[in-house]
Amino acid sequence: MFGSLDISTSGMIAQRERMASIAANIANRNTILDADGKVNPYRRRMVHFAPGDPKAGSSEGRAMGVHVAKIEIDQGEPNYEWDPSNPYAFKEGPRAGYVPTPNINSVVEQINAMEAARAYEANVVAAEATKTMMAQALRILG
Amino acid sequence: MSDPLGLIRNTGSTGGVNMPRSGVQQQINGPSFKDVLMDNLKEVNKLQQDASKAIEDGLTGNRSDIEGVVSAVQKADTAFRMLQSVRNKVIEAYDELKQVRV
Amino acid sequence: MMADLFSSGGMQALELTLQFAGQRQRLIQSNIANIDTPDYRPMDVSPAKFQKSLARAIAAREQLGGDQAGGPLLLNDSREIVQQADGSIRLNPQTASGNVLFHDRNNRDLERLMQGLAENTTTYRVAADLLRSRYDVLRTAISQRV
Repeated sequence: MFGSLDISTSGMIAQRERMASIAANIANRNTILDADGKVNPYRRRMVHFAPGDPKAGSSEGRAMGVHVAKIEIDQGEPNYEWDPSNPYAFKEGPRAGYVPTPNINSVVEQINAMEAARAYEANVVAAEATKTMMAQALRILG
Repeated sequence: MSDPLGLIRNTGSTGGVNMPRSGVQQQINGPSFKDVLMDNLKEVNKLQQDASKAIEDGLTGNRSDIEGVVSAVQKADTAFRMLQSVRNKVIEAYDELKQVRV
Repeated sequence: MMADLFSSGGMQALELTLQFAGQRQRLIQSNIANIDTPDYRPMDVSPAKFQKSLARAIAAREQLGGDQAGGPLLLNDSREIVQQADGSIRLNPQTASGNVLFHDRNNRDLERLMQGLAENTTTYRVAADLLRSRYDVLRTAISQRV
């Protein structure tokens, strides 16, 4: 009876996990050091969705929902900022005087956040519509 | 004069009732009222059983469509009420018949 | 004769489902209220298990002769759903649902809890409405007025 509710719930959970990674990106926009204190700028996290939701309770949810298949860490080059007075700047080499900073564009992340919020809301609306449809089916009983 | 519906030409019949000429047997064709009633009883019973099964299947998860369950239940209930109505009318008619003074 | 009146048309299964959903609602509400509580273990009873238990009870009654002749539905194969002497059921949640170890930042998905709430409410409503319509038919038959 509740396969369609499972599908909407899996969509909500996936969007919330995506929102978590976007929030982490925005929060760590200026993080240069890693947990050990070494110079290792934060790398952008991206989530990859895939169809199907193995944790769903119904067979329709397992076949037609969505889940986060992978959280990928961006392996590209970090940004380099010119800041020779910074204690974490490179001392020698071709990038002497530059500080590696995370390659996160906060405008892009904010737009992604808005989109994730809208998608979450759309899933909530779909779940409400499913509930309404079931209640209307019961009205036949009279 | 013109007679498009053939109402004037039909001198042999009045209204809708064709009085049988004497000597000609009326053929009774089609099932009797009793047979029709018994058939409908069986059908209503079958619909009720279908509805019970649909409810139990819906509750145990064998069926995943609530629309089908609700529809089966409503069909069974409507058929039952129809039968109830017919029964009431038959009893009423019998009561009237009883009143006839012979 | 009176007991047989209420054992046809799926009414027993509907009553059991109604009781199950009504009691499970409390468990779910407790889980939702405690979503931010550290060390809280979410208690739940699996509705899928209840459905299987109900299916087995219906099949067993079928063996004994079907709808009215088979007697009451007996749910006796689960520790979590205990049937009392008068046929009503009481829930006895034994297992914690989901993860056993969780950090304080919740692994419990609020969305799944709300979905459980919505499903339980809908199940309750479906069972209640169907039961009402069955009682309506009985009343129609008894009063002989359509």
